[in-house]
Amino acid sequence: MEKLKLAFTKNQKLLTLIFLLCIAVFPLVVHNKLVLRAVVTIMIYCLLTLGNMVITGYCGLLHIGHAAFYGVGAYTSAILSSYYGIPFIYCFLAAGITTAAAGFLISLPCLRVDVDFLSLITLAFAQFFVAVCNNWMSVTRGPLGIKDIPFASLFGYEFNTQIKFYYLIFIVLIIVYYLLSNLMKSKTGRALIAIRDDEISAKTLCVDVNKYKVLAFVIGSLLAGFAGSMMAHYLRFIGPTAFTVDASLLIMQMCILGGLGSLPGAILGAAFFIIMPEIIRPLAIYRVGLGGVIMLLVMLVRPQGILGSRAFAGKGGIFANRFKGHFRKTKLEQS
Amino acid sequence: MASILDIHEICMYFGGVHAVEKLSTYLDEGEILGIIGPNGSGKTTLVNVLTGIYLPQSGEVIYDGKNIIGMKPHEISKLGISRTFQNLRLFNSMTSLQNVITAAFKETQSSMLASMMNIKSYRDEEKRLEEKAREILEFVGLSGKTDEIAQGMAYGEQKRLEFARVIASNARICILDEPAAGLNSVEANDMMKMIQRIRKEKRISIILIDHNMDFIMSTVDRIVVMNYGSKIAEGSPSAIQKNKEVIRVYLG
Repeated sequence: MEKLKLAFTKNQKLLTLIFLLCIAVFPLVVHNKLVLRAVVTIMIYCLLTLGNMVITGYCGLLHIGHAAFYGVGAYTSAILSSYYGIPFIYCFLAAGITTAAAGFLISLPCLRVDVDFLSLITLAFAQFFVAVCNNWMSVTRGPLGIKDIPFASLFGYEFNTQIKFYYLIFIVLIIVYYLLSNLMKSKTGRALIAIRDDEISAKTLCVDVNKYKVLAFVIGSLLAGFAGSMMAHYLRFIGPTAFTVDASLLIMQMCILGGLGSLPGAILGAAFFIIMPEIIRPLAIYRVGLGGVIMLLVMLVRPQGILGSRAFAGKGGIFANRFKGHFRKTKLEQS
Repeated sequence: MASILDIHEICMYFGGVHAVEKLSTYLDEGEILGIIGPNGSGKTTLVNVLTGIYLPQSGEVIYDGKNIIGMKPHEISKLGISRTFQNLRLFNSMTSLQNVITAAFKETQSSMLASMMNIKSYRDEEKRLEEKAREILEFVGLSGKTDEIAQGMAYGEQKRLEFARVIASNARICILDEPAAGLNSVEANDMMKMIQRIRKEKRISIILIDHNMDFIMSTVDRIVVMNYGSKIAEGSPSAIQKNKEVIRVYLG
């Protein structure tokens, strides 16, 4: 195991390049529509898990409402292009900006509370969003959803086939991953990790904790907004059912399994949870609980996930410590 | 020598508990001030007030002509006051090298955009930060442990890492909360030498809290003795050792 890890880290650049090349030539080799669709879905979900990873994995803020940000981006892009005929590129950017604004607003109440109530705030926003989608008939058409969303297009070139869209999302994902990876290795990433590991210590080392928590939410929701826009112009139909709390929890599961605190983990987790249901389909009715069983095993055997940071490992993990610290504090205040 | 920090009548109450009661003292530039006292006498609470973690009911702390009471911890840190923690607050998931690099946060200038685009000035700064971090780790004797995860290090090493972070923060005033707690006499001696070296080399002023009498007496220039939140004595180590009140309460 150690030898494998060593070999991997030594040749990291080469292996990454080979991996990217494989993904790049994949649609030229594999023509199965279902498989291509799965890979495109994985890539869209990667944008979601990367965003959630920044908020929860790097900054330690337990965010279980990410699908709502996904939805804000999707609906923004769909409405602007479907109802107003605005070109895709502006819809894409507007989706990002609107969702980032939503992320900014949600982050503000989260600054005052610790992990347990913070997760409730994010959960509440998720439910609130679904309710708005279902009921604001004049804008979102409620449960009917928005259909006939135009194809994605750039400078007149329409991404109207599976393969064309595949390469579009691939390029977007590569650019996003590259920028995000650099950012997480820099001072910003260090600040987020510092907040996750020890907030008070971070404060005394000149980290403006509130600013960075807000930043984490803004980055995460920006990426979710982009993901929503991409998805809207891929499926060309969106409805409230794609953005439920279940979807948020799925994204969180992807992050946990892939490994909290690791960007490659986000990719791995997304791939796993899209591919797994297809592979276990032969199990028929028994496949329903398997996702849950897998999560149980992860929590028991390797809580930090496959590639995750040891900050989340087991008994000394940060969520455990945060909960313990919180309850100790409230008990003290009561007595 | 001018006083770099002036503490006026700090009162820190938690409900009915008067953790710090009308405490006044000062810190001269370049001196090492020791604060001693029994457990619960308010030493760490005072440090928390000085670093902005607690807001006192009354009192001022003047630094560089400004009252720092009411400022947030990261603002106070930016002005140049750093501290270590009694119970260690390392970034447990990071390596010791990463801990020290993160501690130089105040000094890191590259913008977010520069880091995303991985431009040369950003790469150069990261390289400089890493070199400086390695130097500091060597200074505290942890040069062989740069890539070890902080959580897994031995206690003595963790204490030295905590100290290394304060050095990396490039502060003018360092507050060391029980830097020798839990260390054996050899390790405590090394710590004392490091503190004296850093004071001389970087010309910083230090507030030192500890219980170890030998450690305090041989390291500091002046001592403040606290008991039940109040200052009961102040003076040179030799004067404090002869002070009847201090002997009754503490040294006894």
